[in-house]
Amino acid sequence: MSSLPSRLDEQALVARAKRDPGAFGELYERYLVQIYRFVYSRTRDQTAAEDVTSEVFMKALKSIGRYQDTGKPFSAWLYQIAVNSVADRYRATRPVEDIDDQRDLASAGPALEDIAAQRDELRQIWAVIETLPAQQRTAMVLKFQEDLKIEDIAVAMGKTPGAVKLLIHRGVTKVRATLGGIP
Amino acid sequence: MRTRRDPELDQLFEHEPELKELAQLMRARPHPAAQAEPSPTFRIALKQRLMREAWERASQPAVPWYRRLLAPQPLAMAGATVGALLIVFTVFVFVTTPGGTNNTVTVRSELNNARTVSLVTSIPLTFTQPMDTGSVQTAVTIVPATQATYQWQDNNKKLTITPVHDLAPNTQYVVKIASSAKTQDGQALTNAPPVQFVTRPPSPTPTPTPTSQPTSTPVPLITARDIAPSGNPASRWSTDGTKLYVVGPSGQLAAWSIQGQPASTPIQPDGVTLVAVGPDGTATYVRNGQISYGSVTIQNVQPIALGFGQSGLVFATASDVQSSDQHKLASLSEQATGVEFSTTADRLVYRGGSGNIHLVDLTVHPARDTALGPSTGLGDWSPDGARYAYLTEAGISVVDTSTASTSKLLDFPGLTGLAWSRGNQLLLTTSSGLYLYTPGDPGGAKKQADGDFRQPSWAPAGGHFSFKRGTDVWVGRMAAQSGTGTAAVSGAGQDQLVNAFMAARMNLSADQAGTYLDAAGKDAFSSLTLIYSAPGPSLARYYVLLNQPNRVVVRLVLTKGTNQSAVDETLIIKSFGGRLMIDGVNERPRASFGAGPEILRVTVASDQIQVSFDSDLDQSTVQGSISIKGANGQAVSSQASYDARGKTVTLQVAGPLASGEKFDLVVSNGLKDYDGRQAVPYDLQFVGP
Repeated sequence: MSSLPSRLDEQALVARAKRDPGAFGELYERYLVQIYRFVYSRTRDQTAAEDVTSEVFMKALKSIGRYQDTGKPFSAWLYQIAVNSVADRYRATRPVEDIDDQRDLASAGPALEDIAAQRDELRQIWAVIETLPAQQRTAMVLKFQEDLKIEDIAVAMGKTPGAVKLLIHRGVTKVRATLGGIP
Repeated sequence: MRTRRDPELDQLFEHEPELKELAQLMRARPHPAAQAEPSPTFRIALKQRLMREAWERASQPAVPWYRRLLAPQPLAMAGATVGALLIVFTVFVFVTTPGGTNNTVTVRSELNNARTVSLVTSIPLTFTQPMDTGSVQTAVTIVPATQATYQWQDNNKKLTITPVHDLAPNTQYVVKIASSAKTQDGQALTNAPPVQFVTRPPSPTPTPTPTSQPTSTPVPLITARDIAPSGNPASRWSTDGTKLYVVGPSGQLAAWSIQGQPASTPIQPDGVTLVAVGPDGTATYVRNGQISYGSVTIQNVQPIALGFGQSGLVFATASDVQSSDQHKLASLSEQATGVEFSTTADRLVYRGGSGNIHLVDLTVHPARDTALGPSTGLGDWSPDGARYAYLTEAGISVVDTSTASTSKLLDFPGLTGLAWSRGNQLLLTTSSGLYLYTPGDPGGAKKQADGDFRQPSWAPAGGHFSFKRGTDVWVGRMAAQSGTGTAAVSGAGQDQLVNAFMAARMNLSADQAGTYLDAAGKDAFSSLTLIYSAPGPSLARYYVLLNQPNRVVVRLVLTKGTNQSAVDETLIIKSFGGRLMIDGVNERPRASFGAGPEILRVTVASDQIQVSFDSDLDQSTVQGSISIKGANGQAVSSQASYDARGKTVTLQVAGPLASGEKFDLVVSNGLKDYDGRQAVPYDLQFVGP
């Protein structure tokens, strides 16, 4: 959770980054790891994660002049670009299928029958999350992995906070139903 | 692991305790991928790419409406169609043309001869044929040694070399391609001249662009005297800076000697509309529609500017550019009201009737005329001819003539003229004052004198400048700039003194440089070279190796043709009632400069020494090859570590260095750069802080 001074500091940095390349470099340093980790968790492939992360920051650089501060963290905007970039990549590699109908990330996550074999409950939980529909999965990752607020997830996903709550609720319910005894 | 509960989850699952605990557990144990780290190589490469893109965007002028009109999708589609047809045509010609291996294979780079190149940049190379990537990459060498990645595009005809780390500041880079580089069909490179460029000095780029309003009432920092009444044509300096050619109100042309009492030598009694000075010192002028250049005369012309290229005299009229045999070299895309040729007349800048400034590249055929944007007046060429600064409503903009890209240099509305000195200083005039500005100085321009100033022009040597005031032309000279009241004999005060002293030397102004020397300093320099000028090597750039109280070590990089050499000067600084002066100097030539990694800067603290290099180093050779010795010759125990991003070695000393005691920093030939070149042994004396 960002404190008020750091939000003000971020606002000032973002404002500077609109005209000062050096300030954009600071934003990059600040958010690279966060965005890379999110993208990597979605792609599970280093090369793909690097490609998509590059795309996210290049898009951010091109669009930062149009960025409007709505009181939400700048990272929410970056996540929004990242979510769309991951979806675009996914769409590009699977052009005939609706992303919301996808159940796994091709070779990314383990198959359902493998889940039972995994003894580590953490892996089991995340393995189930990988099987969720894309929107639920994204909301779950942004909430549980990235620790974003529901309002910021709404910004990143272009949805209302209520819709995000619904996605998370359904996702957690699905995990509970699949794994039964955990916790 | 996160331990704090998330109230949002508690609220969301308020009535479902099992789900609530599961949600909190999931939040406490994030996805394993949340530990993934981007690789350092990726992190750096992406940042360099972003910064390059960001700087390019920052330096691009806003797209005018008419360009936006010309860039809708249908036009793009049409362009793509034409491009596709061209590709088909090219492939057809290539396939049906026998003996394709007889084509010449050359390489070029738009970075060649560039100056003040960003430290975050990539080196583009364009080949005329598809290349065998492996043979090219092994044939490329970069000096100073630079670790880089290689990306190929355009059917292996374009190579982008991206340094892994930032380039070193104020450093000349040379990129060579050995003859072992081959095309895809095995042909050798026909012509691969080295690509050479110099990076920008380490001073921070002013952001936001500095403004230049003085913060206090300045004292006059120039001396000036009235020379003669003058007409509209600008006065011109002789090549040695001792004479000024002045066109009077009725067109009379005279050469005024500025040494001693001003004295004039009449050349023409009237009718002169333009004067220029050839590289051989010959005064060239236009009178009654005739150009006179030594024994050469060109009749029935109306030139508004004269230039001197390798093939001789060229001139510009309001509508075109012509050679001395009146062969048209270029047509101007709008009527010109003023023209300035570069020193070698391979390019020119003109201001059109619309107020737009244009850059014309005469090195290509047909000549390329690029409109750069609105201006309020012409300006001046940089000493190396790589850039041109011109006046705008907001202040000063600069165009890089190799890429035709413009950028804002200084916010300073109301300028009436500018002149760019050899020492990279800009003399700026307004109707109320004269200013001096060093590009990159975040403090902006410094006021030198009050009054009305116009048409400034630096003398090629000697530190003089001319300007126009009222109806007369005047000649001025800079007075000493040091002694600003800084009591401490260290740090910024010393830096200011040394930079002003070195700028005067680069301006070839012995008089001005002398104002920073006390009697002992003048005596010390009497046996050394104060001003480097032709026919010897010239002072191309300098950098401060070490700045300690009372003592600054400066490295002077000297060039003659393509040869580079260096001299280290140790300047002794003293304070006289708060005014800093150079009191002594020791000179030592740097043997085999550039043959291996070179030190750029040494920073001394009580428990560590930081040594920045110009090259990427072989990390395994750092330990033991850079050491510290005490005055007794005994080694001081230290541990070396290497920061590849900054090309910096840090020597951590076991105990604090004794204050005031002398030490030697020693670099042995055991130190190697990334390409395996050994350092040329070097030692630098410093004092414990």
